[in-house]
Amino acid sequence: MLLIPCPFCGARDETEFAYGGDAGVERPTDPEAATDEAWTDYLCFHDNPKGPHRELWFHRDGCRRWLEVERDTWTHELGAVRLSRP
Amino acid sequence: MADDATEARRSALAGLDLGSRAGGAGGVLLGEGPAQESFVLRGPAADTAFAQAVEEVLGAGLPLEPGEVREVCEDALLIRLGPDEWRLMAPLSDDGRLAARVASGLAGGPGALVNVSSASTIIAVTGEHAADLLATGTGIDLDPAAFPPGRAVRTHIGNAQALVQRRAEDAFDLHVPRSYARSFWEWLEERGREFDAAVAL
Ligand SMILES: [Zn+2]
Repeated sequence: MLLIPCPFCGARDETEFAYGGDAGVERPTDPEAATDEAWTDYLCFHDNPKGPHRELWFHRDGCRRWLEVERDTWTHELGAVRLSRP
Repeated sequence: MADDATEARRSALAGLDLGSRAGGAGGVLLGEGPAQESFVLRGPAADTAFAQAVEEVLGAGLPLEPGEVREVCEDALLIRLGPDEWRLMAPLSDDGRLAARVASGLAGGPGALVNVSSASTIIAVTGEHAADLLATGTGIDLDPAAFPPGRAVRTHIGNAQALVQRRAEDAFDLHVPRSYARSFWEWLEERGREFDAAVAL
């Protein structure tokens, strides 16, 4: 079980959160103009690193804010955590 | 809002017929708390106009510490739940008047107030082993040093999301989603067996 240090609530159990995937994925800024390749890349092709990963977690049962969390996918060690949109 | 408050209310726990089972002493007492009016207040904490609008109506500033509970006018409470979220709890007898004043005070600014009175059921857990019972279903540190009386926290307990208001060291009000109220009550009774839980009069 991860203990995620929410910047607002403090350390909380992983069960209070919903996982939101890679935090570094950039949505095409102009959807009308985006190519099929750009959409496919955005929707389907994400990095799957063994090691440091910057990812989104939703604090569903706490402050109900999205957090950006640095987590090592191999050791589960947590790094910096911040509100995704302060 | 007044229309909502005057419609007939039926407790989500009505089918359990708690009245006929009430009584007896136990290490924990379980009971349904009195229904209250409940509103979600959203707005930017750092926005002076928003903060002033709230303070003018409620007679007290926004509580800013996470989980801080502040008494405001008309026997109402304001609870800080998130960076831009508060809960306003008012007695049923207020009949929406306070909320209407807050809403008009916020008009034209960045804040919003939404009536969620019917969304939650309030269950009171009291007694010597109240914290011990809750500790079987949550990761929150219930030690009074970490979670003192007079504070509140939103978390997950047993099978439900719960807003936990600590009234005293041995007294908690749990605001759980109405549709979870019955199974959450049954979860409390099941876990409460270890502590000789009884239904409060
Ligand atoms: Zn949080």
